[in-house]
Amino acid sequence: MEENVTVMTIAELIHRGCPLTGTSSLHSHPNRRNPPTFSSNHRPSLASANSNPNPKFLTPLKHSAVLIGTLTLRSSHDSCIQFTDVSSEICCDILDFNVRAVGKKIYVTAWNFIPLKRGNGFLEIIKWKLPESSSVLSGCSSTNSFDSFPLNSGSPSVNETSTSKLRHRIHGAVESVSPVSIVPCLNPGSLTASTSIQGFLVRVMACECKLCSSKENKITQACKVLNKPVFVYFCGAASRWHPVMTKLVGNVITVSGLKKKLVFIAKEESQLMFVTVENSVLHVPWLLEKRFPVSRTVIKGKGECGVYTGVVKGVYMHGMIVELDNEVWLLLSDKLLSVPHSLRVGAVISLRNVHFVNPRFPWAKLLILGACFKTSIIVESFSPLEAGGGIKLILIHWLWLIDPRSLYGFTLTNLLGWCYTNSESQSLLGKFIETLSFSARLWTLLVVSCIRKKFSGILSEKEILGSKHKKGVAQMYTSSRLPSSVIRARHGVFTELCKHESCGCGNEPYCGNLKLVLPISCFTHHCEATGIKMLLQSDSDRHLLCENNQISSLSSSGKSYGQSKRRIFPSEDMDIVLLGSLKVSPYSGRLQLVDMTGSIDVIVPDLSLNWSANRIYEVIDYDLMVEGIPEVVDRLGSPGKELFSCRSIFNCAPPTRKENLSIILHFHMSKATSRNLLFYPSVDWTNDFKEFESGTFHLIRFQGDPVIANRSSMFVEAIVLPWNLVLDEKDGSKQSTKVLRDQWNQTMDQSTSEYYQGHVPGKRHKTDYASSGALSSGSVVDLGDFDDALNTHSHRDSRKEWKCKNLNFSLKIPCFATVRSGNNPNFVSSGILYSTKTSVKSYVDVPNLTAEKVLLEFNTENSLKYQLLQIGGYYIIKHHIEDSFCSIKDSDNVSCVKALITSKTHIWSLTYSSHEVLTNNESLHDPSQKDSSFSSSKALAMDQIELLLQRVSACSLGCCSDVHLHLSANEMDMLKLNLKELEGDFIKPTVRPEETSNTSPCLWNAMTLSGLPSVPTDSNCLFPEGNLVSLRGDVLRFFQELANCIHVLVDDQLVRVFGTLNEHVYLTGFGVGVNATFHRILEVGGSKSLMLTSVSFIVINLIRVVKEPYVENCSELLGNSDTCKKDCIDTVSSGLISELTPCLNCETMRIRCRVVAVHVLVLEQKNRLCDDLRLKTHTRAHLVNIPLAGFVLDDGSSSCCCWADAERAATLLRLHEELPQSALESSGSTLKWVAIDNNAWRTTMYHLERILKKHNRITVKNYGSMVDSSCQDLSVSISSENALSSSDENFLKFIIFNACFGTFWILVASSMGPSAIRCLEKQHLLEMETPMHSMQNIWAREVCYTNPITEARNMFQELLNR
Amino acid sequence: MEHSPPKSLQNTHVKLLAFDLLSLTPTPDPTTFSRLGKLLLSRVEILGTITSRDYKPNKFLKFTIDDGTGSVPCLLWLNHLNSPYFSRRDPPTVRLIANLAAGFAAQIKIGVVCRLRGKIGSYRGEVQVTVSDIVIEKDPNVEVLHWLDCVRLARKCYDVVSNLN
Repeated sequence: MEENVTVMTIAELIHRGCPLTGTSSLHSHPNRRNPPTFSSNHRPSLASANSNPNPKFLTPLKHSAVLIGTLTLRSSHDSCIQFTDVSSEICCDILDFNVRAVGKKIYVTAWNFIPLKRGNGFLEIIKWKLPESSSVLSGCSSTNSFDSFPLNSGSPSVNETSTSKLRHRIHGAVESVSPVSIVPCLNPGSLTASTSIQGFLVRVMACECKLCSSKENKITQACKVLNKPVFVYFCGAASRWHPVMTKLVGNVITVSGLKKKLVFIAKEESQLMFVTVENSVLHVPWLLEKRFPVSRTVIKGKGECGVYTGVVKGVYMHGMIVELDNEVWLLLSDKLLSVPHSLRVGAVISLRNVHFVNPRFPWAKLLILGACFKTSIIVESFSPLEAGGGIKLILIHWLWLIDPRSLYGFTLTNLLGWCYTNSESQSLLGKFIETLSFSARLWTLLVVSCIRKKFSGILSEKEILGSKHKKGVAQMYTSSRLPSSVIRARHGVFTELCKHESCGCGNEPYCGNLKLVLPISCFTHHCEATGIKMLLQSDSDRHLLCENNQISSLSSSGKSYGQSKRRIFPSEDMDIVLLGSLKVSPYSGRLQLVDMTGSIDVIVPDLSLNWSANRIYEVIDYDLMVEGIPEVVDRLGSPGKELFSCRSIFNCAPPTRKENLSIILHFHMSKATSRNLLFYPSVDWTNDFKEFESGTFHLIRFQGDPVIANRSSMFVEAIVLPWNLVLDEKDGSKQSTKVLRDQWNQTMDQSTSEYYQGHVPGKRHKTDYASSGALSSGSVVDLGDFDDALNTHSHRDSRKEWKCKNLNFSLKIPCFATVRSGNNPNFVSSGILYSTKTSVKSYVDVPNLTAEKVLLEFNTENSLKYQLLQIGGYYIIKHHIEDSFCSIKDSDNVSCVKALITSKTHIWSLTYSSHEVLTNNESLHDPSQKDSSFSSSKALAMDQIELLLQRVSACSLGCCSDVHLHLSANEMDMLKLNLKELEGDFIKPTVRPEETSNTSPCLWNAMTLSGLPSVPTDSNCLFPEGNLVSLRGDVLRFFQELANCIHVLVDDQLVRVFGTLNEHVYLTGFGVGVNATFHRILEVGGSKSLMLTSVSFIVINLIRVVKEPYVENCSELLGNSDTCKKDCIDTVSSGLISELTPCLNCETMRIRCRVVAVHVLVLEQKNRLCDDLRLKTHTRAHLVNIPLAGFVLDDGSSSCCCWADAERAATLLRLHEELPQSALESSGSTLKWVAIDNNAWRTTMYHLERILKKHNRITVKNYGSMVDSSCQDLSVSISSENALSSSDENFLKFIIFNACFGTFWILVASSMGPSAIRCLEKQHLLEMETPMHSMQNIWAREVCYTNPITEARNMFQELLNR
Repeated sequence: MEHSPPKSLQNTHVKLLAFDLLSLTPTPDPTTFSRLGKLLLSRVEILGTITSRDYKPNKFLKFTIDDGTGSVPCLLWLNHLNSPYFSRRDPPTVRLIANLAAGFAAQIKIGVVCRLRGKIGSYRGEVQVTVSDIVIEKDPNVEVLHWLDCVRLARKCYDVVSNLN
């Protein structure tokens, strides 16, 4: 022993209790050649070897210290060789293990000590040597080339008795070693006295020659043909040799003294194998002979077996998953696998007989190393890092996987012994995972990890992971998603080792279609990274069209919303599934899909009114919209290569999102599945579903009239239609009048009895009853004090009414209802619509029903419900006697009341149609069964039900209703007619909203006009007037600078929606290209101009990305608008005016031209009222509207007459440009320059506004030259009676001249055919008595300034190419 | 309404380089000029640098514009308020036009690049452009663009027309 070297004891190390490395001896003699077999700590390159950027190295001991002890094998310690010194005993692993050291005293000169929380810790022996005195091995056999070790005793001593000669001997290379397992011994007498036997199997490629198998011959290494697979069962005391045998995989050994036995490896399958007995001896040659290649060079990833050596980068899922190198994942989920302690981050491990699997997941590129019972793990180099890991931790967590509770009763010995004894107590999840193929196993572990993260605070670990007897959420989810092909039967260690190939181990079914469930935080991070990459890419990808919004450059007037780029990723490209619940963010007010890790804004066009924050939705089909400003994105730089890694899932802390991009998820509720997982055990999931199974529903329709919102609650007027819907059992198979009658009777009885018992409907929910008289007097009488009187009254009435219903049950419409359900697929239920207030017996006649109005009050909690209501839509409300709505309904005094809609009130949207399924159903059409058609109708055949469901799902996109009624054609006509008549009665509201809310009387005055045809706006009124309507269309343009100005294409008609949105209405994902429904917008100035009000709400139905902004549609002027609307500047070919073909509609061309003259110009003042409102919080907008302007354009090739309106006309008139100084001099105006520092005041527009304020409409016509700017003869006329001052007139003329003295414009225009010209003449020019000129007429679609250098370059190229 | 293929481009401000413009030949109609004897023209748009300036207040401004291929004499009338030609029109409009013309005149300075449109005429046997409007161009690229425009129009339009004719 060298000087200055101290001897340490195990006890000292344990006492210190900290990770320590004693490797100074390796560095103290740099000149001394270290034999490569005794390698030092491996120093992996930190960048590549460790996912942790700041790894902590083991603390080195400052001085050299050796440990002196003995290597022993203990049968109770699986995979562990023990190092025992005078003080204590510790598990150890040893590099360059030599069997000769077993049982010997060795000097450990370089080592790592890793303490463990539970137990002593373990020792990693890096460098060791035998004491010089023992250089002559006592265990040396007579051949001098072999060490021999009796397997049943701890020390190497040759004690071969003569009986051993009777035994068998095998000589061969160790191919694989199974884990230690326990075999219950049915016939204890035959082997040992114990009832079970532990041992492990070794598959040896043996030599078949007589020389080797001869019992007498000496052991030799001469044989080289080792090709006969034999199995040696090391059982009983020999099982402690497992760690040694593991290290000998690939080496040639000889085992003598074996007994040949036929062993049952399965119930009816036996295998001839050699079994160790008391005096079996292991012979290991001095010079170990490797028979297997160190590593495979070609990895196909098809499940083949091989050797892999790599650096451990991470140990996740409590040791079940080990990350090696770059995206190589070792699966160690088989519970019997023995993993060395020293498998720690930073170690180099060598895996023998591991399966290579390329899972071909679309969402990640990785290689799986699947460990099976043949696999053995050898640490080639210890980790210099402090990283934990090791088998004890793994065992603990395997136990945890079994049952968290079982941890408490375990001591260390129990833990270590678990592999032997606790196989029975494995959790269902653990068992499930073991049955999966490797790809599916990794996927499952990923999903389990994700689900744990997603719902860690919501559910207990037990609920997520399950227990021994109950499946957890994770297992329920994963098993529902995995195909059956990935599940393989497990046969136990014996069968799987002996019949490895036939057991299907490594046989990998295709799992490439498994979609990954991601925590939302990971998802958003992934999206951001992908989105940045995609946004920075060129627009070449045909799937991902890019919107590069050029409106701002096209129009000088306004900065269009979002100069950002937008990308849409369909879910098919993502292969990621999202699980989460819907919530409205308290911070942003946006609807979000959330889990415990994060949230993402969502757009759900068909969100049911009854959406619940408690449900977990699985979103599979979606579109992901990523939007960001390219410049900002560009500054972020390119994302790293690592876009997505399993590491990010297994790691606890996902990278934080930088919020540089807005990420929005768009999906349809009809496509999202609300998984019926017990995420919220307190919620009965079937409740909602049961609501539909039976019961009565009131039919209501929301009016578009007085809707008033105040701070605390919102009101909407609804017509309660005298129709109720009764649904029967859900499968549609059983229908009987009796059941229905019973239900109704029951309901009625219940209601009456409740009334009798003094149930007060008005106490629970605030319900105001007001008589007609009270209404007409204009005040609400709160009759709460008179509840008793009212109740008596209502009871009497309702009873009478019910009685009436039961007796005169003639007006009923049988139907089938398709109910959209989140939990389950849609289902069909039979039902009937019956009239509530009729005694008419005739079936065919439309009865004289009456409907009533009610004001429904939504409090703030239910504001989303309110916002989702569609004006004019039909809805049903379930009859609940305690509901305030139903109470008033039953009171027979429905009108003139309001009812509170609470979160408990379920409202379902309803649509109806006729359907051939019913037409074909004879029973429903049999005249003889008319009176009892419902009772005797046959059940729907399964295929009919399917047809109904298909029909509904086919049309569900974007127009999905919760309930869809299928009626026969006749009955639908009748219902339609009836509903129309009923609704026709409601032109004037009977309820005065000011009585229920403190809205302005003026607003109410406006409201009283509702229902009447829209009234032209009157500038003298302070408030806008008109009908509230809902409309759906494509957003063509969206300007946000001056309040919101949205151009929407509705049925090929362009409408403008303007105004400011309510502060709690959020336009998630709104922009050009979306298809949106605008709820409750006010019609002002005709049907083409609508105003957003404080009660408006926008629902986005469809997101799409357009290559270029839609250009404004001019369908009114151009017949074929559909082909025009997608034109855009860049895609339109450029040309000359002379190339325009006359008489051809909609030939679109991009021309560069100048204005020569103005033919005619109409200027109007915009609706000041609306603008006043919408300008409350925004910068001022100009109030000039240009309905029509005709310009003569010239590009050098020819001239033409270009018609334009609105912004395009304003641009061509240069209204947004600064007014030349000469203008005022020219016009002789006495205008003063006020607020000169404000640029807006310098524009021509400002002065034009000033003039228009005096004269609402101004027309300028040119009676002079159309081809010479200076020879125009302009005439100005006004609509108002005010006289037009000469200065104003001159100013207007100046504007025209000024327009002609401008430079080039780039114009996208369509040629106008005769029909469009006729239309133009008819609508505008004839009225103005302005003739058309014999020029080519075109319609301006886009106007923008030119960039001379770009134009010049393009033209140069064009000339060169010619 | 129907627009037939032009045999003449009299209502169009053709873009011609100076050498082309100066080579136009007069026709019996003093307002119409012939290009290569095949294309009838009355109006032109040219662009170039102002190289000379002769200003007669309230009468006219004579100047030359040079586009590198030639120098075109131009005339901007400033006599609107005195001329009997405008006497029939209403005085405010005439004043407005006069002011605009005066504004143009003020902008025309030697060295500036100017785009102008006007009627083609002749004075003492030489082509002269009577200015309708001018735009002072500040972006030097417009000159190149104008040249290219002239080349393209000649190729695609003026020469084609003449060939057709």
